Amino acid sequence: MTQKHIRSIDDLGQSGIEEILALSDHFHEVSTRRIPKVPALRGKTIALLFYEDSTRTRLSFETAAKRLSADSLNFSIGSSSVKKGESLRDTVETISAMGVDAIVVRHGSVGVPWLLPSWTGAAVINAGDGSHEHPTQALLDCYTIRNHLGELNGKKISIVGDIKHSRVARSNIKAFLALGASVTLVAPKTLMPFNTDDWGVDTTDQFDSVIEDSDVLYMLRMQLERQQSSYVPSLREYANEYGLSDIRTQNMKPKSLIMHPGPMNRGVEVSSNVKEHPKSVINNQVANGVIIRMSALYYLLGSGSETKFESFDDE
Amino acid sequence: MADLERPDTPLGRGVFHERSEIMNADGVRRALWRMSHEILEQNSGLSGIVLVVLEVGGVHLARKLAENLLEIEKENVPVGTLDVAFYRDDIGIRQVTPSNPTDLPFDLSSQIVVLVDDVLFTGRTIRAAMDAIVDFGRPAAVQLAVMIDRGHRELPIRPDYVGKNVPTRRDELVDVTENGVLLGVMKDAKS
Amino acid sequence: MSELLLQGGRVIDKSGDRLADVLIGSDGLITEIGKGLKGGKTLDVQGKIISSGFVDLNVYLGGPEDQQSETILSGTESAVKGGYTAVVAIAKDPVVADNASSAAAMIEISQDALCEIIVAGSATLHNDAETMSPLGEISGNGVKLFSASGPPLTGYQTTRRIMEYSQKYGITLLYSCSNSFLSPKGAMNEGAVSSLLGIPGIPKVAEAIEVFQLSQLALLTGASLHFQQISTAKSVEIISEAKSNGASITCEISPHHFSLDESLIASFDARYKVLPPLRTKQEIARVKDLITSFDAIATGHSPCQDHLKHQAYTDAPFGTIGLETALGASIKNLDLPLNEILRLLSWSPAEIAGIAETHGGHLIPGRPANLTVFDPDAAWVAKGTHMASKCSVTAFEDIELKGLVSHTLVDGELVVINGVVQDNKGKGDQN
Repeated sequence: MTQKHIRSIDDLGQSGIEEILALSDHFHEVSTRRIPKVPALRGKTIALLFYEDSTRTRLSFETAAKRLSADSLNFSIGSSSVKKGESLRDTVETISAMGVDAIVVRHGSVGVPWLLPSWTGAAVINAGDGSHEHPTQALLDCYTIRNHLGELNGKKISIVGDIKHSRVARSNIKAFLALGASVTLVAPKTLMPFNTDDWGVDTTDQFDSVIEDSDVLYMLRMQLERQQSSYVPSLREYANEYGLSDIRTQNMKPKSLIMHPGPMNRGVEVSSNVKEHPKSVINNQVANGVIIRMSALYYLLGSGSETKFESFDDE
Repeated sequence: MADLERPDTPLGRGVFHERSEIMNADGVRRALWRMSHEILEQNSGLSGIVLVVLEVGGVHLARKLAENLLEIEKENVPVGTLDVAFYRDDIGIRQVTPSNPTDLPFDLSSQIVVLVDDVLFTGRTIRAAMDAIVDFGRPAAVQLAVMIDRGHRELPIRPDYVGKNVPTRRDELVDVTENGVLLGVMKDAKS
Repeated sequence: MSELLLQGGRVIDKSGDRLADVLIGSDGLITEIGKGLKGGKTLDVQGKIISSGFVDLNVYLGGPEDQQSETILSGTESAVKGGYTAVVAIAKDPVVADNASSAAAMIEISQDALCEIIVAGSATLHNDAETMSPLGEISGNGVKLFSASGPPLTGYQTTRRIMEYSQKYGITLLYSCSNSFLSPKGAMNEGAVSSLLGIPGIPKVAEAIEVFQLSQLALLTGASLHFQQISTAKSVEIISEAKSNGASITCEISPHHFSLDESLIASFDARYKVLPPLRTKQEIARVKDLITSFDAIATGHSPCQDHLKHQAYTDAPFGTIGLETALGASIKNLDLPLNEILRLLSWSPAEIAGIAETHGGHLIPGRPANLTVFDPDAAWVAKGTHMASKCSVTAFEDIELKGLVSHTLVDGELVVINGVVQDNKGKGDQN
């Protein structure tokens, strides 16, 4: 069997996403236990290769590994030879030689998870590659929406903010569409990808036009340096046009959700108390992070080779 | 079919070809009635007893056992379900997909846990179940009720309550339902 | 050197196409061309094409400051294997001939080459497009081509002055129109694929804008310009219009720009990272419709250390090697008769490089035998590790090509025999 990876939502497809969501119900139960740990991946080793600082995502994977009884190795930019100029390839081959079953990689450059399989036999999980994808974030977002709205099929999800530079948006768009939701991207044209013709989404630069209709308002983090590069004239103007203010939340329909991948810029893309709003499931997203990463690791390492059915001769 | 125990055991693919009927619906009903009485006799009543069902094969058996116990003792016995997938020793060797999440809405500590499954085969599922049970608490005792003991044990495990002992071949499958117990083999859908 | 007879081939040069034998004297000059020739050592080239040698206007060969990417020897081995008898060594960081002595040093080490090297100077100091370099002094070494990248973000004044000043020395200015003014971080063509992959895009109008501005300045000043690696149809249209208005402009296209499209980048393999970037299939079709408006096929051969290309796509340097795949890619991917392909590979670039006396042109008795012999029908698959260049990362990896060089003659000497480079000219190992 060829090695499975989770580099993109494309690696999973609808069936893979649904399999991981189904596994997550189990790991959700596990995480409610007094001892929230199972021996499922005992003896497996998971390397966390983080070229970008992301304490939240790294801890989330590390906790997931521990709750599955797997061992984890940390290679963060501050603590390894990355600083000494060792190439990505050498680092991966070194880690691989230590005998790891999966590598979770976060890198500022697009496509790094696709390079790894030529240097290692380990399963690869993309924990964010540049502006490209962040599939486990999309999975936890799907899980959160499903738990609150029952299903994604037929739901209207608006993703608001810096779509152009957002790996969260790219993975979420694919996952939401795969599960039958319709997606509207909301951004000023400077922060919209250049060409979304084949994406199967609607786009608009009018935030107020989508609020009443949306089952989910997914607010993206606004990188504060964007105003220096003239993507927007000022953060204040951005907040006025595209921020989820208290007034805008009043126009949301009943049973709709507010989401954000974190960390938030309070007062920019969301008003200062949106996280505590009754429609906000932002804290649930964080809690589901560990569960989804347990599922992702189990999906890759727990399945093993599929035994083929062999027919037995009666005689 | 819960007896998918060994890597070389046929998985639930292809088509189940029945060879013979081991028990009919009446036989299953009578065996469960007898097992209910044995549980009460062995434990001098229902006090402290909880049923823990192994997904998915044991579910209908446990429901019936609970009904019987209620009828005999006029008392409800707590029933929980246990998913042992994450405790199996063949994870990574073959596809281990969990069925339904564990649901144990009671404390196991100091209780007498009766594990309920349809078929006892190699014993590996029961080994996994015992590991899972102790993660939830420290029971006073763990007992095992199965409808069919088909032999081929690979671990030192024996059942406390048995519907029927059935000698089988390793490649055979045992299918337990409320309507009876069938012995057969899996065949490739094409052949 | 003994007399050599190329027997049974089909000769194609600027004057046309005929079946003829070619007799080459011991002085390295063509002695006679015609049917039924006798004498000398005979080389049977039945079924093959004998062409005037190829000339590449855009090659990076490394130099004294960079022996890691390529050396004069490895670079020209790669060149002659690809059928080139002359190449233009462009100025590219860190090898920048921006003064008379660095130009002389580059010319000096070029004597070790397996083919002729025409050294291009840099029109600005440090190739920074800000300060004009001593064009007169450098051209005193015979340098007539100058890389003049830019324009700088500060404006066009220096550009205009270089265009004006250069004319005294008969200089042709080489421009690569891949300024990053619209996309400082751009790493691929801007469009559907870049949007999907999250890779910063380079809009194709960036090239057209620069071509337009420089063309207008060429018209204003009367300077002689050559545009390197034109990759969009709009640029070609602008150049054609400027030409028809009297501008002295030529332009080249690189084989990867008419052979490979941007969808390859979805593999995240940095071998496809080139500048200008690979375009869409549609754009390639439009450019190919205008292919006869081009004056040359040039490879833009840009070797680098292999490990640099084994990085993440956005971290790796731009560029691909190309000398050994140019003929095969051109025959495979251009719907042109052979003599038109050879115009672009041989005599037209020879004229732009100012070497038409010795390269390209009409194959007639008395001219140096700078010849390329190739099988136009040979299908083969490109493999970087089989190439003579020090760099083994090619954008054409595993891609099928058509047309393979079997022999290359430089000044009458067989430097490639049956596809194998003859190393006797190399004066020891350059490394």
